[in-house]
Amino acid sequence: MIIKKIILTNYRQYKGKQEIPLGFERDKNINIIVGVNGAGKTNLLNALNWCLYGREDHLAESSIHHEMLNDSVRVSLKLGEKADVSVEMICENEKGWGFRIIRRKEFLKGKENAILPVREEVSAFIKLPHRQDWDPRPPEFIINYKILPYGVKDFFFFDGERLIKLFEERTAEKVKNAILDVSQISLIDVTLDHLEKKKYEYYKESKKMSPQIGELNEKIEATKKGLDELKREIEEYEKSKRDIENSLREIENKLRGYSEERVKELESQYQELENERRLLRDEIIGLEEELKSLLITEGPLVLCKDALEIIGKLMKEKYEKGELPPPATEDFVKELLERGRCICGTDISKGERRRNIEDFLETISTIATKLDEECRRIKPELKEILKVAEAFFDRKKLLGQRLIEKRDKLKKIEDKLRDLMIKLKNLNIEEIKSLIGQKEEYEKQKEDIIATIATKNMQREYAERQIKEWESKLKKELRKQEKLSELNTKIEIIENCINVLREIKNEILEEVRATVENFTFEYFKELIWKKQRFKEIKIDKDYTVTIINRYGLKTSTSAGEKEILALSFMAALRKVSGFEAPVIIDTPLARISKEHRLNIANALPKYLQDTQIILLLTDEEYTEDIKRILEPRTVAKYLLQYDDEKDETRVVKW
Amino acid sequence: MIEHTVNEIIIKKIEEKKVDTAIKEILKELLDLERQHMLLKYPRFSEDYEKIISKSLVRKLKG
Repeated sequence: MIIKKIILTNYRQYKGKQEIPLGFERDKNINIIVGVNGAGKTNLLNALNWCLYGREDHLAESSIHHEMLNDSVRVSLKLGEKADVSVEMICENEKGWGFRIIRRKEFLKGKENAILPVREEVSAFIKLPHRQDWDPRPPEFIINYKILPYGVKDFFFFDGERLIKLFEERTAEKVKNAILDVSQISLIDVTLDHLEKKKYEYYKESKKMSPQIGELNEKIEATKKGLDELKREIEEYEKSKRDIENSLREIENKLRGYSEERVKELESQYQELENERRLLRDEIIGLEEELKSLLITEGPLVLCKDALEIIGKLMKEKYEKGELPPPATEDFVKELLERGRCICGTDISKGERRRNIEDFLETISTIATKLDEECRRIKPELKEILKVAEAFFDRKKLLGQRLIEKRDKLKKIEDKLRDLMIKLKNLNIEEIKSLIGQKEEYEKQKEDIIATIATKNMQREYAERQIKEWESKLKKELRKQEKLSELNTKIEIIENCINVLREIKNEILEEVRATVENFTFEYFKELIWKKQRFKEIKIDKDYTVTIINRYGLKTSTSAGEKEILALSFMAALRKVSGFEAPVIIDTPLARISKEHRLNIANALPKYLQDTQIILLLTDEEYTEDIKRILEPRTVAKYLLQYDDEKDETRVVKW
Repeated sequence: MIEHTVNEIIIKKIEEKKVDTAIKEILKELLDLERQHMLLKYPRFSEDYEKIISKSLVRKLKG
């Protein structure tokens, strides 16, 4: 792979469009670009970095916050005007395929001379051999897979000024990073990272699963035991039920032997008669009570009837004769008392006789009144009493007749009851009663058992339902366990993969380390002028770099030797990387002593024999000696002409 | 090392490992998928990743 042309437009000190065609021939593989300090050599390196990776890794500190748009263009812009910066690289590989990368950034002039970035874009194109048309392709693909991936670009585009620092501090870390970068094992790293994430994902998933198989099994077992017990109990109850039913059948058979119906019929008749007898007895008692009451209350009236009839008759007569009420009235007595003399002539005007007559007057008036009242009162009563007395015999007769009838009926019933009792006695009624009692007891027991069986069956059904439910859950849990087992197997697979990949990564790193070690020493020996002084360069497993002298001892190096070591290391890394990209070195010889410088100048074209080399040299580096050495290998030569007045650089073919 | 060289080396090393064939197969498939993903941001990456691991599980269980 070579760079055919670099085209810069308004990039930093390169105003307008400036093209730098570069070349490569088998015997002439060096392109020289010479410029004074500040002319833009390092920015040329930055331009290539920016074009490919969008970064300016080699910027001077003073330029870090300075936009890349050329200052002159920037100043000339009016408010609201836009201008582009672009860097374009045209490359070609050994098979004649063309690759073109253009990165463009647009700027807008704002207020107070502010220059504002508007947008940045990168495009890539590919051209088939012997064709003129460029086809667009994804830039990342072209850059990383056809030109040079970012991870290894430092082994191709490097700054001599900074190179020396590679072996000055944090050497092991830098060497390790460089070997990691050149090993291109990012694929392994990314795969490892994804595998670790996946493993964690599965692990988290598996943690969520905690199958309750043991617990469910215990529940099922316990319920099954309970169910067995229930079934056994149900069977026992069923057996008892059957026993009872058998007993019942036996009793019924016995009862049938006793003609139960007949017994019932007789008992029924007996009961009916018994009830009838009870009623009759009650009626008889009632009649007797009634008769007794009649005799007690009305009997005396019957005895007094004659006397009463006489009284009535007498009273009638007395009234008819006017003897009643009595004729001795109060007026007569009062007249006697007024006269003071009795009809018999006795003086009653005073004394005891008069008092007696006065008392009599009082008594007679009361008696007469009372007698009259009493006679008037008893007259209807007497009539009524006589009426009752007359009815007494009828009533007594009626009651007597009814009593006789009832007593006759009672006697007949009692006769019937005696007959029935005889019949029932003949039927062994006590045994029947006992059997019926037993039957009733058994029937009650049977009902109880049926109820118990029903309850037990309900319990059994519930237990069966529970077992079914738990077994269904258990199935799910078993599936979960299966899934968990799968997850664990997946985790195991991933762990195996991780282990294998880690081993492979370490092996590759070790191989790369060993190869880099060998090539570094090979190149170092080529570039160094004291070839016999150094016996070996070691890059240990911890990436410590050690230089061993001819005596087998660790030795220190001069600044120049350090830079040569760095150059050798970079060359070794470039070799190991396998990429055939051009090597661009900015000021490679500035800090190297004359002997080393000449040696490097002599060795460079050789150790980078099939590689396009672009050297960015200061005028001080490009001495006559160097020029003499490099000239035969030089394919193109440019001068960076810096115009101090305009503050811009022009690339001029030299 | 350029990418295809690294890939070849990795594959060769995987083959040399004394591990289950299932592990070797899954590693090769995963690396291939990762490579495609790095290159093109493969849209069905996660889905295919899971498929490869599940496939390896089946292989492992059968094996």
